[in-house]
Amino acid sequence: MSRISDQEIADFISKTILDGRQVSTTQELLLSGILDSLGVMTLVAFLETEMKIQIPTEKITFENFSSVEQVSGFLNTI
Amino acid sequence: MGYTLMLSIDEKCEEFRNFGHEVLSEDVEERDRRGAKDPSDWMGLWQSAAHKGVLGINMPQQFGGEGRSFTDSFQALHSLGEGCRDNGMLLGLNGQLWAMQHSISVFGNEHQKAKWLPALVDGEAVCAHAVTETNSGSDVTGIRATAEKTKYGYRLNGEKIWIGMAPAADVAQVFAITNPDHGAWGMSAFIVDLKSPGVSKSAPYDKSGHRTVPTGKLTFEDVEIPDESLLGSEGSGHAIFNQSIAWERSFIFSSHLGAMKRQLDETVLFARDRAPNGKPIINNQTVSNRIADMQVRYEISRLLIENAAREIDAGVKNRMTPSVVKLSVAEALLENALQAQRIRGASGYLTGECERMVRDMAGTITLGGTSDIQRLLISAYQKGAVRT
Repeated sequence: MSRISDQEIADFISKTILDGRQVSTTQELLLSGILDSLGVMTLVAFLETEMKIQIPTEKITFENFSSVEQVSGFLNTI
Repeated sequence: MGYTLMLSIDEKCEEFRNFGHEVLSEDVEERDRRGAKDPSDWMGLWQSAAHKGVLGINMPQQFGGEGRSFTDSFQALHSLGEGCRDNGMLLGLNGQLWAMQHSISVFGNEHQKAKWLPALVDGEAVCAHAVTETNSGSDVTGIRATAEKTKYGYRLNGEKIWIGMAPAADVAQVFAITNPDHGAWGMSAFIVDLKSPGVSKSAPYDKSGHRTVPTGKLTFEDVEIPDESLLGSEGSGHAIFNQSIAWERSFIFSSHLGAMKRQLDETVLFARDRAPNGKPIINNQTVSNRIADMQVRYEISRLLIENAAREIDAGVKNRMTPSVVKLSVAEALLENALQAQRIRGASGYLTGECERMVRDMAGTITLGGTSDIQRLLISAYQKGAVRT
């Protein structure tokens, strides 16, 4: 498994999903509508590809994906 | 537990093909015309299919199924479709099997599995998949139905539309918000007994295709459901939906593909026999090109579903597969039905098998997420799945 930094995750979200709009690593992503369900799927595909992991579908939850920091914390558990 | 000798997969295919032809196709034109207004029009056939083992093909043996692999189940259901001319029945059976029974089998606890799976496999109960609402379709983030926690369970409120089998279903897998603070991510899945007070079912919609089984609306008004109705854990509705819709998108057209094969073969025979001025139209290159393309679409569709089945049997997770299968197979089903109609000329426009296939297959590009939605999903995965 390859590691990926919080900033790399934020940069991917900004560049690929949000057309350059910046996000901070603590910013709420889901309730704010920054990431819709397609955006979450894009992020999941990115994380699985870059880190060479499989994220179980049941782990794609509000708690694990509500901010870059939450994503990062979740990734540290698998 | 007793030991039951299972048929080989070839024997099973033959059995399903004959059953589809001899039993499920009976009176299909009249039933299509009547439009599933009366449950007695299709309920007996549904139960016959269940007793033949259609709804148990890949279910665990302890719950009345045969526990076959995805690969073998696809083969058997394809054969059923080769014999059966009732695409509505095929859609209903496959919908229950893949989207509902399979998610109960995977996400349900032992009590839920023991309570519901034998009844569903045996045809005693019919299940509906209640996801879509006025403001929410394939993107479930618009769901508004709520399940408020009470002392003994939950109080369910909401309205679900475009639900296959809803007007006659006994039970439904219902998705509702349990934690409004998490928005659509606070969604949970429930197995709801539709005899509960406060549940109402609409009359069947009058639709253009798949008319032999009903589609309608479910309304829940202060429906008290027990804790044991919760499927999986509270808040896991998003994950359960994503997984169950993935199975549905990959396999719901398993039997439709068999119907596509039968249509292809019958089109070849028609074009070989139809010979104005003594020259068979199959020797007209315009016609033969169309039929060649029909063959290619069928072969690709078959390989795509087989590949999806092999991936699951091998434990491989490919998030893009269900949308690729759904998009490609649905478009192929409709295109082949239209091409068959072109080749048959005026006779294909008369009320009957050929025009019914067009009406039925037109529905496949919409149900389970439109082709446009599948393209969006494929694109979403593509954007993340290629390394820089």
